[in-house]
Amino acid sequence: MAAQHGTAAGRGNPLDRKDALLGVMLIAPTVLIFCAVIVYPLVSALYLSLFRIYTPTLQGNFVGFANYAELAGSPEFWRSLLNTAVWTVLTLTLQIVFGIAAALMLNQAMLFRSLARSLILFPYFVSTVVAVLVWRWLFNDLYGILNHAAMWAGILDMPLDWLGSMPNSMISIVLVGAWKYFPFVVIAVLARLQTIPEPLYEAARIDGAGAWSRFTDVTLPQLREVLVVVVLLRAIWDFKEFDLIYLLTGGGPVIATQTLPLMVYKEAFGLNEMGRASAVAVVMMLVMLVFMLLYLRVNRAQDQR
Amino acid sequence: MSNPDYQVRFDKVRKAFGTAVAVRDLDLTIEGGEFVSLLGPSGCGKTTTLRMLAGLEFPTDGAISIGGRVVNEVAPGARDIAMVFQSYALYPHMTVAENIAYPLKKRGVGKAERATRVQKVAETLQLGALLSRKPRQLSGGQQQRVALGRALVRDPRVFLLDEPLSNLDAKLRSHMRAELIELHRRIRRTFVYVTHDQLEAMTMSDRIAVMHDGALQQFGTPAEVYNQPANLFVAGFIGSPAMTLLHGEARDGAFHHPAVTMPFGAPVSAGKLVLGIRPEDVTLGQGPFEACIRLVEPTGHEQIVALDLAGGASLIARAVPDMVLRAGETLRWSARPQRLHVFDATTGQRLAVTMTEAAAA
Amino acid sequence: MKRSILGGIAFNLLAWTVVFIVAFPLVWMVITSVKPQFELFRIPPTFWPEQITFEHYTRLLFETPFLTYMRNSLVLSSATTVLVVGVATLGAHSLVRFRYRGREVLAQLVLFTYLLPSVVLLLPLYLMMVWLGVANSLFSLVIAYTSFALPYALWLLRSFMQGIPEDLESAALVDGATRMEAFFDVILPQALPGIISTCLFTFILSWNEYLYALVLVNTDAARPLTTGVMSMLVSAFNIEWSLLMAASVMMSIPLIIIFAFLQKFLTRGFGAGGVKG
Repeated sequence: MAAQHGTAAGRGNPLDRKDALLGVMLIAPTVLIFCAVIVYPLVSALYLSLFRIYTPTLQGNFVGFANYAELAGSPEFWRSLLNTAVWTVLTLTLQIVFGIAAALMLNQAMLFRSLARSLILFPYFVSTVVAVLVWRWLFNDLYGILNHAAMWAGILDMPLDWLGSMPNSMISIVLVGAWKYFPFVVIAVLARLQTIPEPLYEAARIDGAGAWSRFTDVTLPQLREVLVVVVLLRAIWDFKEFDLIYLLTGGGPVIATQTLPLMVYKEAFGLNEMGRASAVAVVMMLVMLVFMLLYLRVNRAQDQR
Repeated sequence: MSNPDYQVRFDKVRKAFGTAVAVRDLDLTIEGGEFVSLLGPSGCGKTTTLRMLAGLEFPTDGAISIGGRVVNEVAPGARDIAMVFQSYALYPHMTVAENIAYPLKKRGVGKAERATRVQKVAETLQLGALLSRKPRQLSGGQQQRVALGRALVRDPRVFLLDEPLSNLDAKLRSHMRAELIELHRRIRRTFVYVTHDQLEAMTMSDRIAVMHDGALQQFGTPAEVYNQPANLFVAGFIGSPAMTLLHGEARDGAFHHPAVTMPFGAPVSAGKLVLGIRPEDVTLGQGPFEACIRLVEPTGHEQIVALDLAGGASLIARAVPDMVLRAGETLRWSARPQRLHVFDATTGQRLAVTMTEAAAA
Repeated sequence: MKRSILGGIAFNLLAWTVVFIVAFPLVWMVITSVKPQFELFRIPPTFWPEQITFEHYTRLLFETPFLTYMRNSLVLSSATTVLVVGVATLGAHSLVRFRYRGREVLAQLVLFTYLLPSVVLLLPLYLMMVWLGVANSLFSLVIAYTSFALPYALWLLRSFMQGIPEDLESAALVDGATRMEAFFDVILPQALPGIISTCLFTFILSWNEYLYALVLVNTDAARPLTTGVMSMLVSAFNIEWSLLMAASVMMSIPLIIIFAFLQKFLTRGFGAGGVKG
């Protein structure tokens, strides 16, 4: 009797197969949409980068790796890559530092804490367009309140050109980027902070640890896992940021704050070189691939824990 | 007599997850109306076996039958079984009444009949007052009864229970144990009960299936499993405090161990053996053997004594409360030969060997 | 933590100063939007408006295409959300509760696409829309938006669904439900808070999108708020700050509403309440 049912068991079991089939059907719409709007364009981007294409007419011809060769020899490309790295590292650092600080602060009992938390989180949810408009208004040389406040406080004699000259423009976008995105760090860190058991701090205090040691010896180790994920995610997202920098400085002055995403846009729609723009995009993605794969690995390791 | 409609059979059932084998070659027949426990430590395959019976997992090989019908290809809902989960798995967004009615609804039972049957079950389990509440408003014991009610309402052939009592506190647990036994006695359906707690298995079951590492170690009544353990694992797992196991050898017609030498009643071939002695079969104070008291634990109604033997082995014994025992003392002890257990040291299997009184050393 | 009263006051002062600094730009935005035109350009600028006026708002709503843009954004974000969350709910259920070959690979792929930069997909998508003949329409934006909204929603919903105990579905199956019946009777009601959160987060994501709107649409009829507001009001010499601030406030209103709704979900577990940059 057992032999009869050897085939009916296990993966040969029709119930199991029906089940798996249903699972596949449920994910089919997702997979189809994925292929259409993600996989196909991704492959196309690689393909496009091998052509020289005139954007308005979309006519072009095959040039092989010529686009990439041009980029390798283009000072503008290397400058954009450098800008992207500088922007990412600086704004990421500020986001992490401010994020942890704000999370620590919000973790304490304070008056109207939930209101404070909402206000702190708000910059993240506001549209980049709104954030940029507001900050450009603040930075305005004639009417911007920042200049006026600084002059009134005696820090400045003359209004500062926040966005039109270096190093101000880079500093400004880094600051606005930090303001806009640090709440993401706050959310993640605060959630973790709230799960750290109080007895850990009490034990440290009994052992004579001061506030700073308690932070470095108790808090930080507990935050390590969350911070790794947050740093990776924010690094990836800051690296590919377009809206904020484009709307604040347009990449200027000249290309002083032009990052790779902006260069893609400029090549495609400013210089009408769609093929070369695609090449820039592909290179950008290759650089990011390292971080993306790293994140996938970290995520899988943490999932298994 | 047992009802063949409710019989459960496992024929050479095997379950592998990739390369890891969870259940190997299980041959088990549970008679209709029996209360059988699947007992073993975590990871022994008992829950996997239950889930295969339920249809939530599919065997890699072998056949599972309920009431004489092979159910390998039958969906869980069509097997005429009911299951009570360790977490109760009550539907949180439905009321108690809706929870209990759900299986009937899935079978297309009409609204009026559903209401009557739910009412009946609720009365049986004293849930009448709770019918319109949501599960989160109930205590652990009440939730458990609702889970039972949901199972009962379908009048299934077989009840599957997956450690249903482990989330309850001790007092509630013994109360529910009694209720379950009573329920089984009343409805006389087959109960398959998974647990790691040997006390539960011993007190509730008609028969116990002891499992370890995916394999069935022994299937017998509580008395059989206690008094005639089939191998070393069962011997060591059943019984608390655990049986003392002494590793020695058969030589010159007797069992030889640094601390214990006992002759065999009938000739035994030479080889390595393990001698098992239950704590209650040890008599302290007189006898041919010697031991040194290491620890005495008074429990009120008795004393549990741990003793050191020559050769480094440990002996556990039970003593009456008024016996004077002090750590560090040496004393003599004996064990009744008829109550001893002998196992083959390599295979672990029980050997049918008789022992006789040992001469004084 | 024990704190002296003085320490407590000092901390609160410090904390609220920080909050004020962070919130200041947005507060300034609201204040500016209700300042009368002449006060707007006073040097030195005043903090509190001497008068409150809604003239900028009325001008915005009645003399500019702002309402068209807003309608476009509402339609666009709603359509994207409905499509994406519908597909993603089924997909997430499949990824979490079914076993089939390639499932793990798919899950990793979803995560990977979640991290993809939009600039890479941008140009091919632009070509695709032209080729399909839907360039310059809201429809093209919905298609393009799914490229980032779908991985995002799938990622969120998968976490939510992983939090639903497996036993619930098992119990339903034993009770006689088919897989799909178990999904609708038991899983969906449990996943509802997660689904609502995902809808709201996806809506915000679509509402705030700029780059795709910039490239794929350049007629006012189909422009959403993000590109619409920027194009309408920012030109080389004549920046209408008053209208801009009013527009900024108006653009943020749905976000404030949704945000108030989502308060609960935000810090409850970073894994489940994920947010995208």
